[in-house]
Amino acid sequence: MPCKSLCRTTVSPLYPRWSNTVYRAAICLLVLMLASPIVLPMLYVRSTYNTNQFVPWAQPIDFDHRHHVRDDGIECLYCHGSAERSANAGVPATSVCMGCHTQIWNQSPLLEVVRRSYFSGTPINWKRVHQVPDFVYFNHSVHVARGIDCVTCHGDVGAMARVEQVQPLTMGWCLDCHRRSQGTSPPRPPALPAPTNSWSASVGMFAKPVAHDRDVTLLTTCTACHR
Amino acid sequence: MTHRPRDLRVLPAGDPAEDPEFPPGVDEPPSELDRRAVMKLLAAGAGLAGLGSIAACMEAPSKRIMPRVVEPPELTPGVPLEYATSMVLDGFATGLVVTAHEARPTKVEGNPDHPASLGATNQLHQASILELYDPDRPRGALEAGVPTSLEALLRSIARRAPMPGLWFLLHPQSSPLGADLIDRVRARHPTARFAWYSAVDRRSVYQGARRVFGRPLEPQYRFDLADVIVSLDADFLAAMANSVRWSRDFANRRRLRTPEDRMSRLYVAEPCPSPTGSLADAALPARPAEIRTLAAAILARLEGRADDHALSPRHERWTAAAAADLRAGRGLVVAGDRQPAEVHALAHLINAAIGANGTTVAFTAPAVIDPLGPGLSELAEEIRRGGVQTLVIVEANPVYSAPAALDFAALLARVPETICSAVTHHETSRRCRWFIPLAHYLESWGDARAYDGTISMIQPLIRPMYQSATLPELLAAFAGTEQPDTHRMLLDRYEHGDPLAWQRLLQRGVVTGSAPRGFVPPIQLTAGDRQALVAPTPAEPTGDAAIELAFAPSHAVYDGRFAGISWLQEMPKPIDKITWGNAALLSPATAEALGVGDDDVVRITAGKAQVELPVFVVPGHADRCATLELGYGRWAATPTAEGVGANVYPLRPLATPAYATGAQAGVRIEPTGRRSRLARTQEHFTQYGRDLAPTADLETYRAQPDFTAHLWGDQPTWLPDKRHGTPQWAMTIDTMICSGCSACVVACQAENNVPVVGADGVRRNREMHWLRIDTYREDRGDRVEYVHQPMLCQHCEMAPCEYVCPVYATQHSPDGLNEMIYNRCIGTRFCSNNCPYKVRRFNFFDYTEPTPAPLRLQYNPNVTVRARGVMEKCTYCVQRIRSAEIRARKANREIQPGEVVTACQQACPTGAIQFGQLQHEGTEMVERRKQARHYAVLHDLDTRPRTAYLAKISNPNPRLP
Repeated sequence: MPCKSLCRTTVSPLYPRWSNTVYRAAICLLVLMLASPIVLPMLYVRSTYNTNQFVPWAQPIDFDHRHHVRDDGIECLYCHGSAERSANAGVPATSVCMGCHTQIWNQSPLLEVVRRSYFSGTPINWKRVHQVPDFVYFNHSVHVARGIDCVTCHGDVGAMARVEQVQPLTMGWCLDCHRRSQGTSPPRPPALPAPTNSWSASVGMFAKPVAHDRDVTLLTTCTACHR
Repeated sequence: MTHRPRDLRVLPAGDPAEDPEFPPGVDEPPSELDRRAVMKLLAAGAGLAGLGSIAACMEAPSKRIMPRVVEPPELTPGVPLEYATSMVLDGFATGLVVTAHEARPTKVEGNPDHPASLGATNQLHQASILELYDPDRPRGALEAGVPTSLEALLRSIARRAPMPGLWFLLHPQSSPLGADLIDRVRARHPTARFAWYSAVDRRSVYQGARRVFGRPLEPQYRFDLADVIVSLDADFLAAMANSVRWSRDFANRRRLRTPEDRMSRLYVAEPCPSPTGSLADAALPARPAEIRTLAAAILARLEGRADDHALSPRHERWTAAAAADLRAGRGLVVAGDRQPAEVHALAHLINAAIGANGTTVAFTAPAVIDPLGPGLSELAEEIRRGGVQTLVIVEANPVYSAPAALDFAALLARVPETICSAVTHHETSRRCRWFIPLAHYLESWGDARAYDGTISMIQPLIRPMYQSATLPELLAAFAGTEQPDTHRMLLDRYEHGDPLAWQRLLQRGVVTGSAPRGFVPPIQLTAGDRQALVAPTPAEPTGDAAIELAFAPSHAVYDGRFAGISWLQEMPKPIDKITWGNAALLSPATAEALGVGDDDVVRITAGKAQVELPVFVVPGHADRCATLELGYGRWAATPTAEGVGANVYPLRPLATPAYATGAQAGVRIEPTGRRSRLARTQEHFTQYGRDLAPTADLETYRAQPDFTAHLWGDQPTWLPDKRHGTPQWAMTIDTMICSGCSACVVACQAENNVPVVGADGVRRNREMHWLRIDTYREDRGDRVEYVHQPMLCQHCEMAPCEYVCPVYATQHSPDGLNEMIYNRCIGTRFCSNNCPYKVRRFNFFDYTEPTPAPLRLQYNPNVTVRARGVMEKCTYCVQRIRSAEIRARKANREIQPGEVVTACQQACPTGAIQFGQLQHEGTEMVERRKQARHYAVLHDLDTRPRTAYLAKISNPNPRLP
């Protein structure tokens, strides 16, 4: 066969043009598939679904922080006083509720559970909202003493009808603060509204001189939290 | 994978005479040699650990918060409280400070204000908290095995008319309140008699004093003032009534700060090396029956009389050296509790002869009530005569511990009415008609006297977990009080209308100044009596058949009453490192003569009683003698206690309960040809020529103070220096004053939620102790020198474990700790393989998961309860460091010297373990590191351990070879 005729022949392509796209897509997919066993769990543990953020849990009593904090101006530490003294902030004893509610709203049907608990001596069974794993030894008192505002970790509880977890409470989130060099950026996200009526002695404390005065050391060693 | 430590029963329960002693197959090769099984285990363990940690990460907040209805003002959830109380052992109180988390006691520590503690404890105090949470504690009163009302029982007792033939059998008591109540009982029941019984009998101490001084007295020793101490079979550092205090006193005199310091010289004559004997400068192996001859020979030499005692040349040399030293220096002679009254009398005479009375020894009236009152034999006699109508037994367990010749079980059956009260059921309580649960001391009010007579308070940490009564309440019921209340009785006695003073008293735990002053009574000894004392003992038969048995309370379970405490069962005993059982301890020569070696089972016969025990050979043991530990072989106790070891109580002769001589009791030891592997934690006791635990005698040390210089200092390295930042934590351990008593081992277990693995686990080297005591012995010709080296994570600055962890689960902290992060550990065990000190422990099984409900309450909430498949190790009690840091940060100050005390340091009676910051100049920990004799273990590896040791210096008599 003469060469000329061969060269003139137009051979129809074996694969259509779009097969290139398919091929590229397949390579991408393969890479994704290989990465997904690592990436997907990493995404999952960071998702709010796993961290239980933004779930306004139902509680045995429809306790409204908005009313107590904003309307009545009660400080956080009035009820959660052990945050200053203990590792646990705790939920107030029934007697703390009854301290006021023997006098006001003492007939309210909303407070029936509280009265029943107080007079029968059975504790109120609250749902725990903020929780770190058992192998994490978090201490409230030292954070409070070093001037960390309640809202830094718990969000503006005074604006919540039902308490929900705002921050992820993951180790990465803890380390974000603990690794941050002193005074360079405030640990409180600026988007959050300033606490209107909560324990807020710390407004502006993360300006450099205050951080220096208070010697806020940022422990990042493992046994700071894991023992 | 057949072993689950769910049930810690290692041996079948039952009568030791009928059942085979050990289950078949126990001497088969251990399965850890089976490589395939190990690989399977490893894979399963790692897989499960991985799954577990993933599951933990994904846990949803399912927990609830249930706050109290009314919060007590002193209680803040998460803030532990400490209360002063006391633990009483055979009448003598030791002051304690007990930590309670959310009103559940978790940790026992010593009360620094208490003269018998000075802040330290022994292993029994540390472990006693576990008995409180024993799942097998009885829940209520029983009548013939049927539950009954305790209140009604006490009421009916209170309403009884005067009872003829009423006998009480109690442990020795020192409670001032108890003494009053006994008088009240006697007033209501005029014929009531009180007998005192403990298997560890101290009567001979009082008899010896009575013989010399005309009345029973308690000798008060001053080991801190003595230059020469001669112990006649007295383990005064670990096994006597005031040992915790005496350990501190002894160490204060002994510890060298500079090579020029003076240190005391310790002579010990005893059958089997004890913790005291392991610190001796001149240890003499002597059979118990030989001790009297030794004492008489020393006295004869001191008085310049011709020594007509037939002594072997070695004993002759020892007594000559001891007598010469006693005469030269400020001496002190101590006789052991188990020695007969003559030895105690001789010790008093020696102390008088060398002028020790008034300097190193003083006397007080005994703290215990009626020290020479009736005992078990008087009670037995009365039962045989038919004079006992009602027998009330509190705590004592004579059915288990009485000599076989007494046959107490048969006697007990002859008593019409029997009432028994105990914290847990025991052999005696199961044979009594009525059973009254006794409150644990951590649930009780009460008072007692310490060894020196100081009144100590007992206050409860927790409401009684079950229906129970205290001993004062029981006595008050017999005195006619229908609803006895110990708290009320104590208030009546101590409050004096001043509630504030009462609060202060409880806070302090002791009545200040209530100890009587010591005095020196005149010797009232007739010439004839004296002659009888110093006369030579009749010669004993010396044939090969003549073998002597020495009985000693167990260092772990005492007389058996603590056998239900798994921490103590698993505590390696100081000299032989045996756990979960007892052995016949023999000298190498005796074992050779019998043709037996370690783990060979021998049959021991004394009279009609026979016991089979595996042998363990202890160099330094007296020849022709076997030491047998009491307290094992319980057959009707709690499941942990039952069937562990063999009960040797039946071998004890009536006349001399502490030892049995061949001639007197027909003692025979014969091999059975069987073997039974003892659960030991240490297999080799030599250093194989390596300088692991260097020792020197005082002269060598003075000539060359830096004899450990080659064991200290940095070697060239490529690795970066990690000594940066402040503070830097470190530990110093003085092996010179460590007696190996193991209080630290149990304290560590209690503080750090260390699990128990059972005898089988120990046999497979799976014990979980974070802190062990390595004991090395060296043959020095005539004597065996021991050195105890507490071995825990060394917190190396160049830690080999840190380089090999693939997941960074072990890291170095800026303050010098080698951290272990359990939730990150995947259980590869590379770190353990790379640790030259072998202080890392692996959770092969879920040792903590089957923890029964009440036992969980003991867990320290500040330490992770580790799951299966993770590596764990000593953390220098990092939870205590971090809480001290938080305390200091909140108060805006630095951590003070002495603020952080590790659990082992806190428990150590001699103060051998010191912990602190390297920056704190002037503290004991730092000062000791500057001494010439400090060294690092395995220094040549350049791991740069943060734990420094001080070499053991002994002070032998140059005239003794």
